[in-house]
Amino acid sequence: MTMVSRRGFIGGIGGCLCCGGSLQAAAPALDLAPLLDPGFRPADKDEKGLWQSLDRAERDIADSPLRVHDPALETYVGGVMGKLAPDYSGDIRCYIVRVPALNATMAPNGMLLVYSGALLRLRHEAGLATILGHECGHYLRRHQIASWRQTRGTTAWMAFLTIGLAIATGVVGGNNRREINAINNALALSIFRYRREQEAEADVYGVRLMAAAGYPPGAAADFWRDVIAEHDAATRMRGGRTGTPSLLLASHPSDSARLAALAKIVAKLGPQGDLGRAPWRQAMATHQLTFLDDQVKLNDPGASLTIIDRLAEDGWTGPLRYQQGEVHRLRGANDLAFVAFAAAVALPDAPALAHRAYGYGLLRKGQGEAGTAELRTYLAKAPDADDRAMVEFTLNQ
Amino acid sequence: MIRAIVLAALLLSACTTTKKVADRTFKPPDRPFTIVVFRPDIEAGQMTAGGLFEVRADWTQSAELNIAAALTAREAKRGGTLSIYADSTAEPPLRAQISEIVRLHRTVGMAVLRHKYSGAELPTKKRIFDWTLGPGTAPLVAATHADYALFVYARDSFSSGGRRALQVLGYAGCIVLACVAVPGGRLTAFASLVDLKTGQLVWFNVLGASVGDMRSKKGAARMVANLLDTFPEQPKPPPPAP
Repeated sequence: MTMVSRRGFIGGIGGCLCCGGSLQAAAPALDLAPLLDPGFRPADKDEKGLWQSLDRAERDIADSPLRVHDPALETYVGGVMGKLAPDYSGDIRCYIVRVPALNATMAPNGMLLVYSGALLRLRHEAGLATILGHECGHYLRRHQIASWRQTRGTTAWMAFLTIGLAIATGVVGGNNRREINAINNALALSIFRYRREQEAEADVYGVRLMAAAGYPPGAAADFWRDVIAEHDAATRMRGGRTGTPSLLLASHPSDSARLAALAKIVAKLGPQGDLGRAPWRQAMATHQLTFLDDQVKLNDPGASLTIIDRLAEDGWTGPLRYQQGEVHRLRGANDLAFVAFAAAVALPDAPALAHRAYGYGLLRKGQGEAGTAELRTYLAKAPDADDRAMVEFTLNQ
Repeated sequence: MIRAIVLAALLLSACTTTKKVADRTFKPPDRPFTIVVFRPDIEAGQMTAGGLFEVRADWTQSAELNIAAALTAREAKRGGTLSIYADSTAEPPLRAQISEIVRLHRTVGMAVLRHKYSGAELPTKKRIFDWTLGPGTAPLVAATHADYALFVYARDSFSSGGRRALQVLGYAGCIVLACVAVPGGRLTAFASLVDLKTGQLVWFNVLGASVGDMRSKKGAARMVANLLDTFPEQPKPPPPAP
């Protein structure tokens, strides 16, 4: 009977994109209709309260230093949302938040948060449309309020059953604690199953919106294929620890279940559409390296290397090679790091930090002259470097 | 979630409880001081049958208005000045700055709750009260013309029809000697006073009660009076010349 704040509860379930876990659910139909009209405002008491809490959360997020204050990027993301759900673009507000995780959340009041970690993993607009389409599915199908009502109803049943059976036990004697727990567990798990079904529905809804907006629906399947590849690589490099929660408690269908369901739908919808690589590259130009730097600092080498390799499919750049070296350096693989730093400084757009990293690598290998030359290049390229005094100390040894 | 657990722990304490914690070295100034209240964090709603908190927009709005009015009236009676900061009138940079402070205080205030009121005492803070928001609050002195910022957090829940039915069922069990006490709606609140010049939390108080109703003017005034019963005094005006 503990009290759980709904704001905490919202944080837990929001219409988020990825949390992992498994259990199959029947694939939802392709012809689902939106459950709200453009300009929707809540009329029910519970939904009005939910919106009020979320409007306050949105005020905090709008002013938050975590928000990526780039009107061009927000307008671009909002524009893709507008293509997916043209009638609702006035109802949905897009915020980019600088959080290095693969996630996005849509609140029922129309506040959409897209994490920088999600943007980092994409290589075209169709990938963004995959994420936004899914979130739009939650919004248009009014999933959060339905989920809240289902939870409220189920927990009420649990409370009545617990007390009713406790009294019955007092009357007839005996101990039926096990039966009470079994019924309550089944009811509690039904809450999680309900949410997985909503996720599956949002996946299908999103792909349909993508196809209608002229994006190739196959990009959604590619997205999940990439997510699985990254997850596998991360698990391998962590020595087999997946970090995946229990299947029954998962809030989302498993990645592979989602991929299988999407592949079927994609086959039905056909392959047509434009991936939109050029506009995507332009929108992300000033942000990609910042977002990548955040990811690399997580020290999740399997995921980071997968992401870097995928970005390098468009061609290796100095910064990408440098970050590849950083991933290896952070995991203690100094030889691999050295090779990557060497490759970075050989490229015309090598960042200053690559010269420093390569320089110290050369010094460690006993190549003093080449090493100090690299450190000098570093100071020449970054005259205001914070560690200037330290590097000069090394040079004067 | 942690916040909910801490509050739940507080809720299980006696009916109406307040316990003052403050910086012992703190002395209010000799001159009358002014207070600004930033975005009171107030929600009123119902406790569902299953014990969940469901916010009600209309109840929350009246609770906010009532508490703001009660705070202002109480301070005026004491001879001080208290203003409620209005988001709508602030320029965006100031608004962002205040947002930061409000969020920071939410974290620090919850830490005080956890470590001073809920038993999880920190070895380094046993006999001292030195929580602070840091020097980042200093620019707000000029911007708000206030010496202190008062932060108020309150959650008021009322048993829904289903919850009341559950309580009746629990009591009905008494007939067959199987009583089950089902807790109903509750009011939980805390307030904290921050010296804007230094960022130091100088006064803090917590209130947990199963009576009182912030949705009414009278209930809100009573709640404010209870919550602020140990609030630092304004200096007494000098006695009139004989």
